[in-house]
Order: sequence, then C-alpha cells, then structure tokens
Amino acid sequence: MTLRVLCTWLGLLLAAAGLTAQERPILLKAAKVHQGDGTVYAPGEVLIHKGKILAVGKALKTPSGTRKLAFPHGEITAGMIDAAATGLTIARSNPEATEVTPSARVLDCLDLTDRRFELLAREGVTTVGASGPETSVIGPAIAVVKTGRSSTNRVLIRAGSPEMNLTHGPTAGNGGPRSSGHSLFTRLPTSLMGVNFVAREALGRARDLMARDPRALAADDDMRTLAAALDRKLVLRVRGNEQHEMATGLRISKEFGFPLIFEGGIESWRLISELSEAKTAVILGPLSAPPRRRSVGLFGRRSGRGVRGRPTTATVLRKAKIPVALTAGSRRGAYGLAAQVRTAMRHGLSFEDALQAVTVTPAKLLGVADRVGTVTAGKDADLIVWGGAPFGATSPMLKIFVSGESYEARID
Amino acid sequence: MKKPMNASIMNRKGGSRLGVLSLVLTLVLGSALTAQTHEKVLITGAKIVPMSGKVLEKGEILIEYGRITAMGEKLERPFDAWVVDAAGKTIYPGAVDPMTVRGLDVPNETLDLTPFVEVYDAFDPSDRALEIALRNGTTTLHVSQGPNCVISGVSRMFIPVGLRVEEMTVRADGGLRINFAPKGGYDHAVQYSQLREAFDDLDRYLDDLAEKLYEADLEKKGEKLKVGPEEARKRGRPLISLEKMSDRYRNLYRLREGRLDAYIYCVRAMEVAPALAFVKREGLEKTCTFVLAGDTFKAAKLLKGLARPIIIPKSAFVFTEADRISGELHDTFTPQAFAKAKIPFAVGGFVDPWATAARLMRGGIPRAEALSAVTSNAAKAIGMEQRVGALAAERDGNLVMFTGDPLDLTTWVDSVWIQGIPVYERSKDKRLRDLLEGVYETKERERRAEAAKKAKAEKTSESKPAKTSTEKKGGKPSESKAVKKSAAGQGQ
Repeated sequence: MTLRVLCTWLGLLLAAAGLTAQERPILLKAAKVHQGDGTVYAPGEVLIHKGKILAVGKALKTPSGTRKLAFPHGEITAGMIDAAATGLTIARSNPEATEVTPSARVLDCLDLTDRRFELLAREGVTTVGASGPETSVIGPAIAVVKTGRSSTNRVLIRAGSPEMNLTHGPTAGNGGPRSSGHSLFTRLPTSLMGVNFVAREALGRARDLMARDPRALAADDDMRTLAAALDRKLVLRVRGNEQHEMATGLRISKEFGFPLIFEGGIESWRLISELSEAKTAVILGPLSAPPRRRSVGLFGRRSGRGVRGRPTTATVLRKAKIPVALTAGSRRGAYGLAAQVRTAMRHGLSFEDALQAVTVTPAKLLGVADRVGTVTAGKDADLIVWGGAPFGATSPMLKIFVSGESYEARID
Repeated sequence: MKKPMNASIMNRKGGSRLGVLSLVLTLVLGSALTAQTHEKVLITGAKIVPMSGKVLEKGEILIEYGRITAMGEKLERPFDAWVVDAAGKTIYPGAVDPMTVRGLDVPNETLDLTPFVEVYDAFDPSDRALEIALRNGTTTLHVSQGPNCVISGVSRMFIPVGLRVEEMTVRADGGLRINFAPKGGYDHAVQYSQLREAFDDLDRYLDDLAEKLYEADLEKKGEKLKVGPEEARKRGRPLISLEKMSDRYRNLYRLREGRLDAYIYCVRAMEVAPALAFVKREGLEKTCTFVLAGDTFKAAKLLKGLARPIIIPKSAFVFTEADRISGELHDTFTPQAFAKAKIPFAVGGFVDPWATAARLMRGGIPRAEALSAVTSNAAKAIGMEQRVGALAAERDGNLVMFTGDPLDLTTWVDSVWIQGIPVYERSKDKRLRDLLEGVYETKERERRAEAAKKAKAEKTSESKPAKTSTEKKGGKPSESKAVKKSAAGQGQ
C-alpha cells in the first residue's frame, strides 16, 4: 500500500519535473547577436521562454532554473522568412474551373503537419508566406504560417493578400476552343494576352460593382476581395518574372489605381526605374537554381525565350532603394533560402541588406512584423544559431528555434 | 587511333607544349600578347598557399618554361624574367576537377561497351563550361564519359583554354570508366555480366591473336608448327603488341596492363564489394580510382588502403534516407562519412571549386581537407600529382590569384595562370563585368539621362524668351513626362 502511494507520488513528481523542464527559460549565449535592426551585441545573449523572446542583450539577469546553451563561436540572427514559398499546398492546380478565385484560401490547402514544414524549419526558414499554385489568374489569398512541427499557434494570417499571376502559369492545361469541355464562350486563357484580359475583366467588374451595386458586391466574395484591393485595404501580390510580365502588372495597377507587391521578379533588373517610380516592393527569387538542361532554348518555353535572371538583381534593386525580400520559391536544400542569400551576397548585397531581405522586409510585406523578423523582446523566439558569420560560405547553421522549439539544422 | 597517341607524345614535350599554348593565346587574347612571350616569370609579394608544404605570407614563385622552378620568401631573380607584382593577392594552385563530363557534346552514347571510343573526338574546345571553369580557377579537368554505360571510352586531362583538342590536352591516356552502377534499364545482374563478358572476350581474343601471331612468325621463319594450340598461345603472347590489336580490344588490354587507369563508379553500397573483387581479379589495385556516390559510404570499411583518394561527385554530397516507420529523414553528409572512416577524398563535377570547398566546410570538413579535395587530392585521384594540384618545384605553373581568401563569399578570382601564362584576368573578363555592373541597367540609365538632356535642351530653346522662375519649374514635369513616354516605348 505504502509502496503504491509512493509510486503515485513519484510519478506525479516526475510529471511535474517534466513540465517544468519544458517550461524552463532558455538562455542562449553567443559570440554575436544580430538583432536585425542594426544593433549587434558581441558577445550577446537571448533569453527565451514559452515561445517568446524575454530579453536580448549582454549579461542578462536570468530567472532561477534557466537552461543555458553556450555557443562560443556562434552568431544569432532571427529566423528567416520566405514571403513567397511555393510547393507547400496539397492541391497543385486551380481551385475551380475558373481563373478568378481571390476569396479562396491557401490555408485550406495546407497540411500543417506535413514534413515539408519541419524541413523548412531545419533549413532556417521559420515563417512562410505560403503561396498558392501558379495556375489561376487571380488566385487564392496567401496564408502566413510558422514552420516546424508544433501543433498549436502556427497560423499568423489566415487570409492575406490574393495573388495575381501574370505569367504563363494560368495558361497551363487550358486548351483552345476545340478542346473538350470548353466552348468558344467559356474557354480559359491560353496566352498571356488571355491572362491579362481575364485579370482586367475581373478588376473592371469589381470596380463597376463598387460604383453601381454595393449589394451585389457584398454578395460576391471574390469581387469583394478585389474591391478591397482596389480600395487599398489590402495589397495585391503580382507574380511576374519576365520584364514584360512585370511591366503589364505595373500598367494594370496604374489603370486601376491599386498598390502591388511583385513576386518572382527574376527580370526586375530590367525595369529598375519603373519599379522605383511605382514604389513597389519585390519578393525576388529564386536567384540561383539548379542548372537546367541545354534544351531550354528558343523552343524551351511557351513564350519562346527564357527568363533572364541575374545574381546581381537584389543588389541593383537595393541600390535603387526598392524593398527586396528574397524567396527560394519551391527550392530547398542546396538551393534553399540560405543559398539564395549567399548568392545575393556574393554578387554585391551587403550583409545588413541581406539579413533584412530574409527577415524584416518579408515580415513587413506579410504584415507580421509585430511578431517576427527581429530578435527583440516580446517577439516570437524564432532564431538561427550560426557556426560563424551568418550566411558565410563556411558557416553552418547549428540550431534553429521556431517559437522556442529547437530543431537540428539540415545539411544543405 | 594513332592520332591521339601522337598528340599525347607531342604534348608531353614541355617546350612544344608551351609553344602551342602561346600560339593559342595569340589567337585568344590577341592584344595582351606582349606579356605572354616571357618564358620566365617571377611572381612576387603574394601570400602563397601551396597545398603542399608551408604557407608563405609574402613569397615568390619562379616559373620557367611553364614549370615552377623555385618558390620561397626571396628568390634570386633571373635577369631575363618578367617580374609580376602580386602584392595583396592570395595564390593557390589551380583547382583540379577529377571527374567531369563538361566539354563533351553528350555524356554518353547508347552503347554498353565502348572502350574503343575516345573523349578526344567528342570534346568541344569552345564549350562554355570551359570558360566558366577558367573563370573559377579550375586549371585541370579530367573529362570522362558519364555513368550510362558499362565500360566507357578513354578519358583525357585538359586545360580549359585553347582552340584544338591537342593543345588543350595535358594527358591523353586517362582511363576507362567502369560503371558498377547499372546503366539505364539494366539491373546489376545484366551490368555485371556485360562487364565479365567484356574481359572474357578480351582473353579469348588475346589467345586467338597469340596463336595466329605465333603461326605467322613460324611461317615467316619457314618452320613448321610442332606444338599444340595451348603451347602456341603461350609462345605467341610476347609477340602481341598494341599495333597488332584491333581497336575493339586495345584499350581494355591497356587497362589491364596498367597503362590506362580504371575509374570505378558505384552508387550503392552493394556494388563496392563486387567492384573491389573485380579490381583484384584484373590486377588494377595501383591504377584504379573509386568514384563513389549514393550510400556507398556504408561500405567505407571495405575501402581502406586504396592507392588513390576516392572521388565524390558534388551532386552526391547529401544522402537522405527516410525511416520507414517514423517517417523521419536522416541526412548523411557523405564526405564527412568518408572522412570519419579516414578515407582521403577528392570532389568532382563542380562549377566553382572554392564554393565547393566552402560547402565541405559547412558540412564539417576541416579547411585543409576541404581545399585539398579540389586541388592536391584531386590531382592524386587522377594520378597527376607530379604535375598539378600543388605549388612546388617541377610542377606545372598552374596557379590562381585571388583578391582574398578563396573561401570568402566576396572573394573573386583575379587571374589564372596555366604553365606560367596568364590565361584569365578578371579585369579583361567582359562577361563578368557586364554581369556585376548590370550592363543593361547602366546603359538604360545612360540612355535615359541622354534623352532627358535632349528634352531639356529642346525645352530651354523653346522657352528661351520667357525667363520667369515659375515657368522653369513648370518645365520639369513635362521633361520627365517625355522621359517616361520614351521609357514606356522602350519597355514594350
């Protein structure tokens, strides 16, 4: 009898100890802490507790029971944010047989328990703006979610900005008038001209409803979302890679008078003046991609030419003071977000700009700068511990924290 | 078959090799020729990291007739040497790519057994990959056919500059690639049986040839055959020479004689043991190099005591396995796994050797080993350590001058020297300059500035009579409008 009581007590005690171990604050000591707003503590400390940053600085006072992790040569930055991560949705095509679905949500297509989120965390990407597939002209609203494997509190924004795809993406799978299922009147765009027509037609309809029929507008979710964009209540994200695609985006935004953010922007080095004039931001990338086969040439793409990317694009954009966030798109591992940063830095981007391009800037563009993006007391404990200078060619990531939960870094 | 062999003989003569190279450079670099006629070069004032021996913080290298003759803190200066001041630069040996298909028109033909073909015929001196290799400081490339065959053709070692295959060849008799990883559509059984059959076939051929040659020899002497076929084959063996053999068998014979190297390619641990057995059976222990991808690191224990460093293709750095039950992914950094087993390795198939070395360091390989994987160990892996991969007397004068530490993100290759000749200078690399300066952007800005200037000039000439300040201010928006208009026209 006494033994049983003892065992029960012991069990309870152990459970309590386990609980406190989980809830114990952690103090990270490193050679440098890059706060992300220009402040650097060398050496520096970060105190985290319950998924949040409690304090940042030198020689912090720690509550009793704090677990201490020392990285004598390590440097700490905020976790990276990919503002336009693709390849995370379950569905890979149009949400419907229509090209305009801004009221649909990417979030409904995300499996947050999917291993891909954990792998992203292990690559140092702690927050993503999950983009939808490139297959509709005005696609679903993006979701902003934390990566990792935690089962709670992962969604920062359920329905963010909808995406407008002015690329060849939406034409994929669309047949001409003769293909089955489409008549001359219901056919879907098969060329960029068609894509742009559908975009203009939808925006025009929303503008029309705004002016003439507010009741009909209120009844139409898609149109209401577009009207919000026209009303500047939300910022449309426009996917365009080639120069002419981006130029079209700027033209449409001027015609309808709405602000936009570019996604992709591979050829944005070709229209720097236009971009700075329009005061847009660019979510740029991927800058470096695995080498393609030689056959991608004159006939390799529908448009008859390839996208002409340059590793210097981020630098050129920053020189013109255009806000830049880097994205790896669907690339991971050796071509993931850290590799994109290294490519940009090799081609002239300063460390400060590079760090901003994967932390503060994407946080602002996604509208979550109050929660993530810098190593600041009160923000989420999203951190990367580097084995040397952050993004340095020879610096591995040692550990990654997403909301205080630690992950082993993946070898790229 | 004679052509490449002649070429190799010609290329092995140091003098003529240099002569041919300078001829090429005459054509390639044209105006910069005056600098290249020097046969003795003394490079001074640079930090020298030779990859064999100690680092010189401020050293000098003397290259005479294409070869390094001396290296030290302060050298005696020959009166006729061209002295190059490299103060502030860091010098490393040129990188060696020990296994690549770059420069070939296609990596493989569709045949299984092709020891009779030579890389010589399929190498394109104007391939852009070679320009990129040079820009990144790779000075020796071992170009071999790809993995989609059983036995490949004869590989070659090249420098990445020149117009003709002969003048680019550093060594003509490279080796044969023997793939234990099955060719597309084959399983291991078919792959190995093809391989066995090739060597059995060679044996039968040699027997037949020996018998024939012995009989012919007797006939020539006017004697009669008195022995059985077994004995005739034995006696005929010494009469076999390469010229008397058919193309089909000659290179396999050379491989077995140790005159060609064997590059043994495996992508699975299960292939390692059969590959080692094959090497032993054919007596290739001294001349074989293992090229190991996939999960071959699991068989690392078997691979101890190889004569040469193994080659790990850059594409095979990370091997990922999923746990069947938990679904967890387990990554192995394969160079690290081999390093732990104390197997020296080189890395092949890279674009930027220094970025590759940096990546090795990110994976936990110490700096010296990471750098040697693309220089000295790479040279050892292809049996060229007497000539390339390190800076020392008697080696080729192949070196790279950097603006700083080659493993820094912001360091660039400043110049590349092959056999004492500056074959690449960053200041003259127009493509790189265009890329870094963003030529389009620059030109576009210039064009706009000019257009704006023109518009302004027109405007002022129009508005000359009225000189009030308000009108001047009013002039500005219309100017920019004109610019915008022209820009929009240009944009589309």
